[in-house]
Amino acid sequence: MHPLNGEPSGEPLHLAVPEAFEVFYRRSYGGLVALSAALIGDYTAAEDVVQDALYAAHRDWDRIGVLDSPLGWVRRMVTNKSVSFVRRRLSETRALARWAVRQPRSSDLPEDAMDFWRMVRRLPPRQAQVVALYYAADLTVAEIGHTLGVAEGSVKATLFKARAALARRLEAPDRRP
Amino acid sequence: MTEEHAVTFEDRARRAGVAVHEVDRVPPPLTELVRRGRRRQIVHASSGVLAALVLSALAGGMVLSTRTTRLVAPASVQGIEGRWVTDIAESAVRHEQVPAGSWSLTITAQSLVAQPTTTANDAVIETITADQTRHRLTMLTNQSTQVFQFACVSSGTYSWRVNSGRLTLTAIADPCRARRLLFDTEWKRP
Repeated sequence: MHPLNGEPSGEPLHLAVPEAFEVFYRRSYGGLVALSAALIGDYTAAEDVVQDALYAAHRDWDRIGVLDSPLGWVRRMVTNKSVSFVRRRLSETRALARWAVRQPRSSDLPEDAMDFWRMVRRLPPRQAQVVALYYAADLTVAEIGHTLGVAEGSVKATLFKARAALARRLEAPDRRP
Repeated sequence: MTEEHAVTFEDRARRAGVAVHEVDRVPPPLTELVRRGRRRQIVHASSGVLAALVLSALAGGMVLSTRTTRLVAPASVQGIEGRWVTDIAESAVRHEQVPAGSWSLTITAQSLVAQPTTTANDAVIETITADQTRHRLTMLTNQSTQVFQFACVSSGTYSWRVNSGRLTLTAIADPCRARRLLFDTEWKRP
């Protein structure tokens, strides 16, 4: 568990030479799919989202590879695309929305985890992104702020609201479709 | 949230966070990723071309116009190539979408990269085409076009003007608000 005020850790900073894309790709793929699946609730769709983002990074790797955190750049794209994917799917048809909320294809997950992420997907998009980055990507508040381009204080407030909402809902599960 | 609930919730959230990683997904070979990406790109481009053709037809351009097609000059950004900087002021509108502070903008014949100098891992990378005759710069939307948390799903066209060493980009047509907030401003040489 990382503290709310934890220092950024994990990813190497200030790379003098860009990491080879293939190494980056293999190292980051699983974690990015897990992050996207938490937000989408469907591993197959999550893989599509992640592959799109990684292909975009591959095309611009000369520029993205030399950023301080190429993974941060891709993570942001994955969380945005995942939220957009859910929003688009929800808006397509009412029937499809019901399917999306009630029957995500994340049946590989234990029931308890599936319920948790289902509740997360009902949160406002920004809250869902912050929760997914905190619990699924295991980032600190500072890292989340960096990834989403918002202040740490804003991340803390969003996370606080999201946790309170989730705790309420998980205690008395919302059975609406 | 009571302390007892908080502990229960935290445990549950942590377990859910671990569980999503336990579903093992093997990355496809890199060649496959690139092949799929190119195919999707072609599909996106074809949809765009089709939409453009439909719009042109609706406007009567294809049926009624007797003008001959003019060849487009090769992309050129002479005079605006290189590095520019600006300070984006704090404002209620910009605060959420585009971080305030110093920004650098690097323009080459094919691309444009904008980066806040304070958070070096953030960058907006655009593929561009330039029309030197009309001093217009079109930022082509692709999968990587993203202004912070906001993805731009359509291309934007800007006019450029250089006056007393200052570059002004003005949006001619850009449906993406976040990109307009970033680029519709004045830049100077560092």
